[in-house]
Amino acid sequence: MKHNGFWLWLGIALALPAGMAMAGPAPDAPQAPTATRWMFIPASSFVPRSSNSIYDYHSGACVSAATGVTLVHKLLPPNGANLRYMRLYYLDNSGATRMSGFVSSYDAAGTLTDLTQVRSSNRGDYSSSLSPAINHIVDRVDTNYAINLRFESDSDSIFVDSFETAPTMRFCGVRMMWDE
Amino acid sequence: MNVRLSIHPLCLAAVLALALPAAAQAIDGPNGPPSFDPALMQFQAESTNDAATPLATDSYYFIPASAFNRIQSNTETTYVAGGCIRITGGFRFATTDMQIPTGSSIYGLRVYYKDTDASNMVRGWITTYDGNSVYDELVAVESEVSVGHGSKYLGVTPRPIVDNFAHAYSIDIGQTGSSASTAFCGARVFYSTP
Repeated sequence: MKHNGFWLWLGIALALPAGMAMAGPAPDAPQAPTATRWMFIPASSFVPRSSNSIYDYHSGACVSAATGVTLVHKLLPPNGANLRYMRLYYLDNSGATRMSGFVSSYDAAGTLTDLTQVRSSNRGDYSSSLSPAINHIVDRVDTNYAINLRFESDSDSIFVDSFETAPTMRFCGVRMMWDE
Repeated sequence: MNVRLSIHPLCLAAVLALALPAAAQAIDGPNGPPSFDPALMQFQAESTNDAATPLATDSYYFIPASAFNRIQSNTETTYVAGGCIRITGGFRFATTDMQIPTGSSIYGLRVYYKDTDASNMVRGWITTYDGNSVYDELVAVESEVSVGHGSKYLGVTPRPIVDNFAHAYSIDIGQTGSSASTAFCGARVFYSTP
């Protein structure tokens, strides 16, 4: 039996696109990761969570605030992105105070989920700390996201009013990393 | 059984017929020429700052003044109208982060304002930060006295390439004078995507 190459190739050419379309993801499905992105947010663009919070600007976009103050910034990665890490930039020169950064998600019905937390370390100079891996697939349909930064004191540190003031920490920024 | 495979001219034509619609879609896709509208006139005017840059990659990052935040808690701002604010007291600066894609070229900054008093001024910067308190001001634009609302554009030379891994970016605004003759209305960064 003699085969004609033309008909074989034509069959392949017609069948391949249809097969690829059937095997591909649904239009509203998250796409496979294609690239790593970073979003570097200067601390000066964070806003206080409460209007009565006191915060001060320092050089280089760094911000200081009293213990207990929380600053916040919206986080808008594309739907389907895989959140990987958050790096916190700061100046922390005391073991008595620290700051914590959170990647938080909300369902807009009062439920909060912290996807990761990273704390500053007393390193005596400007430094940064990397969060544990997050590995969260962004769902912008049912969830909204924010980065929260809280100025804290260690629980066993007491600053005597009028005699001792808490050392000043500076929050300088956050860098988010995700895969698209 | 031996099967002989060969590319027949008709087969090549069939493959081309399948591929051509995809090629046509790319030409007419999002990177195609924008439709004409009045805003395009200004778009082209700033595009001529670099004739070698393809128009389709030119983009804007346009933020209304009312969306800027106070740079520290004692900064006092007043909303005027139409997205404009007046920085009236305290540490007189407002700021917002700038998020444009890595690899983009920053062409310049346009500051929108109301300034009818020579003793007042609105000034805008694009600033980069490394997270360790080191900063660099890429461009600084100062308002000029004008009748009513105005704007001023200043290009950056050489054009910085955005690197969101190494730097954070912000647009910062300062204001001198707090009379009704001065207001900050917005800032627009002109850049080219990679």
